[in-house]
Amino acid sequence: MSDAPLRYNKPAVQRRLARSHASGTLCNPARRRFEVLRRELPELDRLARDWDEYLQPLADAVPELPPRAAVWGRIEAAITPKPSPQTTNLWGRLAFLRGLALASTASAFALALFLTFSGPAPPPSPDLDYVGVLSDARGQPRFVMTVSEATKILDIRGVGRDPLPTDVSYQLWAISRTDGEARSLGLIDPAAHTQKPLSEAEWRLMMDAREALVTAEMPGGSPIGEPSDNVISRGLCIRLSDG
Amino acid sequence: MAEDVLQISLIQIWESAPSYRPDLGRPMTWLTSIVRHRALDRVRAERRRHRVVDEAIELEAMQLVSADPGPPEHFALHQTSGRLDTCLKRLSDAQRHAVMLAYYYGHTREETAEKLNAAVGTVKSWLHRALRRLEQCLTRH
Repeated sequence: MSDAPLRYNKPAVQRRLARSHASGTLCNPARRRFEVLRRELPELDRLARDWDEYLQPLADAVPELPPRAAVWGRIEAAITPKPSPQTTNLWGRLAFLRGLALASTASAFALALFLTFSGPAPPPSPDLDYVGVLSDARGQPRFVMTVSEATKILDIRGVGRDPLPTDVSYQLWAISRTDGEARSLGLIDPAAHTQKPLSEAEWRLMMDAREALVTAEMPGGSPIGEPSDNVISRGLCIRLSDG
Repeated sequence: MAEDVLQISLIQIWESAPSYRPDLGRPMTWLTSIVRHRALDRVRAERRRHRVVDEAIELEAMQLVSADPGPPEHFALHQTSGRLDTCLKRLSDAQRHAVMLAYYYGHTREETAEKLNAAVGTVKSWLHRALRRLEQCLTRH
């Protein structure tokens, strides 16, 4: 049973709230209340997501404006307070949002609202087709994985702050959305940046992957071709392109 | 300010990525929603601080967004296509303009009323009817 006041359970109230939220007319305190309410009321959350989808073409129409390269450095510093060589320039390479598309949208939104900024754009990033942020049991990001369809290269980096034991092997697995089975994508070094060319079979695994996980295995990898119960991190594989 | 919004948004996305559910929506829609609402947070806070929006800066910003931006609804209608475009064109000019001012500029109803030189109650009515009509149109197509 939801703790939300009863009036918010009325469909008409929820529809009206969702409309106002989507259009942007709610004041900040009302928007914050809405964000709390939608976590408690699944139907309100569904309505809000529907509206986001309806209006997405308006956001897509905003021209792209790349931010200054220094912004990526600030973001990187914010998510990794003590940068290590493994995470250096992570965000510049990660290009979480397909070649800065979101960055551009964010900039354009705020720019259309208020200010301008200028400066050199960061170097072009590779076109990414899959992104996975693999988190540990506490929900902290542990690995960031990206895959480019153009190059068929899987790129995975450790981003965790706590070192992992070195007396085991770490194995990456793709969980199929078709049959739910885990299939190996090979061993990785959590303390290093791993770039692995994918075979056609591995690429098909990626395309079908619902989730990726990293397990700790005996040295040399799983002897039975299945992941151990010692799951270090896991996360959804998100396809960024529509194709 | 745009860079601050970008930074806050991407950190939020980074931290909430594990909770993203691809079965409930497309990634870009989820990402855009986070960025847009963080932009609204910031813009509203800035407006409270400055009280009056600097029209010159706003116009300059719009000119950078598009070489020939025109009113925001024209900008959007030239750029979008499909059912949203169709449904937006079915609104009255006043309704469409109010929706666009809210969506692109983050104007509250009171601010929109000031921009359109209309009563707040009138703008509320335009927005309410516009969004209802949009909802009906979009769910029908």
